[in-house]
Amino acid sequence: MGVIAKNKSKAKGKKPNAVIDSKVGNYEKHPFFVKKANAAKALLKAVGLPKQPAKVK
Amino acid sequence: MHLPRYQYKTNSGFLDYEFFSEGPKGKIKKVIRYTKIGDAVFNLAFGDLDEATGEISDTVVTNNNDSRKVLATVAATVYDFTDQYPGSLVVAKGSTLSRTRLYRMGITNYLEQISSEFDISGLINGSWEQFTERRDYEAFLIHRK
Repeated sequence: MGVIAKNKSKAKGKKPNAVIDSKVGNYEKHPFFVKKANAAKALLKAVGLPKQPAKVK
Repeated sequence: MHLPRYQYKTNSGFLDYEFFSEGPKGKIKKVIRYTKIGDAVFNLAFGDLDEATGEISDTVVTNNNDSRKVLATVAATVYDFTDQYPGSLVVAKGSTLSRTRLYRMGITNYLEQISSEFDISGLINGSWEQFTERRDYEAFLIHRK
């Protein structure tokens, strides 16, 4: 089980603010979001990630 | 944070969210997607969905006079998303410099509340740094504490 999947299971039981509705679309393959994701990937490839997420002052 | 926001919906994956902006221009469907782009890294993007054509745009100016409420709704989804995907990093970037600046102002306005729950980095001149006020960041990286 991956880290996210393992952590996700821990979140079960926490009440979301969102209304869960199976009619909400899956936009994973929508060209708009694919383009945005590719741009973000390219950005991270160029600049990388911070070694540790910064603490907000 | 309890800012005015729209009721929003998601499906069982907690990666896609939908809500309607309401204002002088009518009801406009907004869609939000967290797309996995790396190991525990997700890109946050959102836009207006034209239900007739299926097209999504984040460059159209909606003019519904509710940009704060829309941003607060998008911010609320970050809580739901990170509840479901703890430990993940969320990347967010506006479609234009002015929109990225709007996000920065939104973060700045509620920095105290946000910082109690999130670590935020800003990208500037090709490097990530701890988010501070009045810096023109190109993108943001959000991590739930």
